[in-house]
Amino acid sequence: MTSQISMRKLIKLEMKQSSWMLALSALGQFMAGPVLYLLSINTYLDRPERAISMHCGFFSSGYFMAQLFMMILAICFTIFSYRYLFSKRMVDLYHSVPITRTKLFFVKYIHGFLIWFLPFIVFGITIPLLSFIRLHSILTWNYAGTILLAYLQSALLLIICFFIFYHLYLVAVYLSGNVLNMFTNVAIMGFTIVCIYGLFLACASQFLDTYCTNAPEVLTDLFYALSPFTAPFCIFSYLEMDGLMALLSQHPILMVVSILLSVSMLLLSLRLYLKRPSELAERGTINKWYMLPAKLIATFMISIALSIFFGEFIYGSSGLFWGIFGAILGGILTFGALNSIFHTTIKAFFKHKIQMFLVTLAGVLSIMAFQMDWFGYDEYLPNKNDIAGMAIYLYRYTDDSTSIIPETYGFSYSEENQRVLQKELLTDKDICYDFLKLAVKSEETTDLPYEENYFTFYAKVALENGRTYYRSYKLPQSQYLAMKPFIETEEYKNTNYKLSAGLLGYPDQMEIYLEDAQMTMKLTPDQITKVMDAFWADFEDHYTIEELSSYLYSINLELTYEGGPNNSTFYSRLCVPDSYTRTVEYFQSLYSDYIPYITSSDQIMSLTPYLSANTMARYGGLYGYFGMEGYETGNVNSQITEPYLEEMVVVEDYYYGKTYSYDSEFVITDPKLIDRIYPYLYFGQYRDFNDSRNYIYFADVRTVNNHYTQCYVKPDTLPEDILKLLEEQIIPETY
Amino acid sequence: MIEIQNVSKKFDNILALDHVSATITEKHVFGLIGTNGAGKSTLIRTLCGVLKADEGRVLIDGEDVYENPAAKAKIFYISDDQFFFPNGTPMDMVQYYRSFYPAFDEERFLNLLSILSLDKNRRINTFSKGMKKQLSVLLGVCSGTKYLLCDETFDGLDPVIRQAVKSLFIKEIEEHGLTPIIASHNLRELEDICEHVGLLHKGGILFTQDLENMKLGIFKIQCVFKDESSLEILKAKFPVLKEERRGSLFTLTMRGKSEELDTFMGTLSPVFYERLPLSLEEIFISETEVKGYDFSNLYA
Repeated sequence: MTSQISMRKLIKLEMKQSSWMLALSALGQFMAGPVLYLLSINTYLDRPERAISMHCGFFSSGYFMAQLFMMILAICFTIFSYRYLFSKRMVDLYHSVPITRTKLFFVKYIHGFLIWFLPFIVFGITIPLLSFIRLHSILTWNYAGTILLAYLQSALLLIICFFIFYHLYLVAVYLSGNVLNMFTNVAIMGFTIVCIYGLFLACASQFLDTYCTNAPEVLTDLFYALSPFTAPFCIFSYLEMDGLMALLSQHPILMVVSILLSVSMLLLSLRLYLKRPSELAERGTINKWYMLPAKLIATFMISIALSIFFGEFIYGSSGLFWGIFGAILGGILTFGALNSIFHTTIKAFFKHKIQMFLVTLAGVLSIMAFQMDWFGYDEYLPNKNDIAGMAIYLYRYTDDSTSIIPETYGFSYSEENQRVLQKELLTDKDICYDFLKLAVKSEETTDLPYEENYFTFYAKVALENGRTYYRSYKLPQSQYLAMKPFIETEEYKNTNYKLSAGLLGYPDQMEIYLEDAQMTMKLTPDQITKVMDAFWADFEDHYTIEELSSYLYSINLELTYEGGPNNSTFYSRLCVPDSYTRTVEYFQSLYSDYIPYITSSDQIMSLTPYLSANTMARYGGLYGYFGMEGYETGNVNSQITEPYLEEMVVVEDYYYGKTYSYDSEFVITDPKLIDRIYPYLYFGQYRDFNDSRNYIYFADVRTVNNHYTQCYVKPDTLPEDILKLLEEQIIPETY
Repeated sequence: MIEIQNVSKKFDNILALDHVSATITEKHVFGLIGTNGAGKSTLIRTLCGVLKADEGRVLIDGEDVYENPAAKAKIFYISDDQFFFPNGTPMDMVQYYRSFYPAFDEERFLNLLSILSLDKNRRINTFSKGMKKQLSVLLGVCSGTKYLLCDETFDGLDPVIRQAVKSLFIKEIEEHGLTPIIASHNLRELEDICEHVGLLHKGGILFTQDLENMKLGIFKIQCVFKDESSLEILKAKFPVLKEERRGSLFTLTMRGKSEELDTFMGTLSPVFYERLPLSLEEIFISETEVKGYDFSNLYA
């Protein structure tokens, strides 16, 4: 009799009963599909290459991301059709009728899939069709095929992503007796592995010295893949950055493990359903195999997270105390909350007290081990004779916009030949030892003066016994010259620096951004060649750590390298120091009004001196102060600033509430006064003022061609009468 | 035939069914009686395959019922709080059940629906509790199954409808061989329809018996004696389960054989003697007391 019950008929019945889900899913898909497409791509439709590139990019970026959210939304709707598992009345109805659970499982499963898939495919295919209509004037078979292929690739990956999300939800649904438990279980299963890995990464960057020697990208992919909620977003980010082929070829672990995990979750959910007692409805979670590890892992994670939160954001000697407090609070709250959720009663909060105690203790001990350096990690310094060599990787020279170069991802090396740290090795034991000693001392120092900036860098130390360790250090900016022996080598110049600066030879396109003039120039191929010739010549002459560390860049180059891996385009940004005379001269030939630096007082039309805590913050260390490392309080306020500024200054809102700045309205235009002040003005690198107390005055300089630059003044150097004049004019009454 | 073989079911630490065994024969109305929390619903839900027994087996015509669509196809379960689709109409429910029970008699359903004055296109969530009960029964009766499991189905029905439903059951038994199994805590609702009864108490079944047979061993009389010593003689001869006195009129529930009592009463020459009909409740109280369960405090 039951064989007559058609699955198709049951799915149809389900669809009929949940037409509202389909309607909402369709609405979402409409917005995330055709509407998003029309809003996103509405320019360059007359330029074939650009238009096709934009269309293909759309499928792997905006559309893909929107679809990830749409599928989460669709799954949330779908969960409504599983709500019978959470209701005693409904479960009686569904489980008393003559149908096997396996069949019911697949009826519900296919129904849930269709709720997402039908609108997805209908509105999805609309996009390439729309694009064909819009591009009809330039469309060729080749272009149409490219667009269609890009869509199909994206659609295929999205279907995989959907199954990852969907199967995660199914496992959570069949484990749970109510909605709260379901979402809790989704969160635990969806994020736990990646959270563990996040914690591991956080520790690795600080504590695990050999981490980066073991192909971490594979590990990263593996952990992302094992976290069903993050895997689709990870696939998206790789797809957007590198394209489909790179995703498949460079991240096979991510794809394979994600698919395997998805299939495993489907099988697990079926098994859970077959074993699921009907009386679980309206209860919490009763699976003992799941509950204990879930509670322990989640509790440990949150215990550590709260510990970091409290310990890191509350400064000073009480940081450890607050860290322990956070670990205990996180441990008890999380374990108790999960107890209450799983057992659906607040009375269960303190159930399994011994487990609660042990996992909280584990969190506390972990934090104490790290904070108190029980294993002597921070102080580790090998004997001088044991050091075989050392290399450093200083990403200070890496600009944020150089996003393609693997070096910019810290230790995410993808090619052996890009492992700069592996190639560079300074073998002078004395230099290496002294440098390490300095770095370790810097790590140990907790009471650092706030006005100092820091270099953060990774060091690779090779030992005579064949062991190599990696470690992150930071050095005060004032001691940057300690790195000189490592930086100023031919190898470093030709490999590490160029890679990290994103200099891949001669770019295909170049734009110059003249900061003073607030203008952008696009160069011709011939001009590009000349600029780069000049630049490389200057680079050879000026490759010193001082030059590389210079902040006084007046010309920014926007570089574009086309034809990269998978037809990618690489954008880089390079700042040209004023000291690169050949390059600057060539710019001047292109743009005659450009004055790179002040050579004489007669080029100055006016000076506007002022005191600026913001400026001090930016250049003197207060900016880093907002990072709140190593300081007792987190506020830049008058009490802190006052000892370093001779007078209090005007208040203005700036980022984190109130800081103090005063922009003088006192403009010096008298050429005689300018001539008198000129010898005391400093137009060089700010690095020379590594202690901000050495500089007080700061001046905007308007040049003869009506551009602006800046200079500094050391207060002690000014003659008394000028100092008095400046103070009278620019320092207001104290607020 | 439904065979319940040594079935136990535990919810956490609560033993809901404790080695329950019973046999339910076909084409009779079986009443499952018990106090609240006795395990009636658990047993019914186990019978229809919603719950899986921790121990023991439930056989429907010789087949295990759990996860067995062939066995389940012979059963229709009406829960004490039946679920209907949100915004669904009776016809939506028909459509749903028809998918699972191919023998569902839609024509008969519509006919019965009109007899009970229920609108087939009205949303069920606008029905009263009693109307929903009626609808559940109609869906069950028309599903064409062999067994109909009713959990507190008569609760909430007015007397007229209750009688109509009972008549319907009887007709179904006669015409289609239906076997209704009715769980209830209300003895009065079952006494005029059940032929067989089973008493559940604290998860265990105390007994299952034919109602008529049960009645044969117990009787209830009203009598007046000239001399109370005759009463003592009577009480010595026949065990008294319950005794009430109103003036000189005694009402006695006693155990024994009916013919023997009549003969013995003749020897005592009572002023007045009359046999009274026994209610199911009275039979049960007495039977449970015999089994060693004292409900007197409960009923007091």
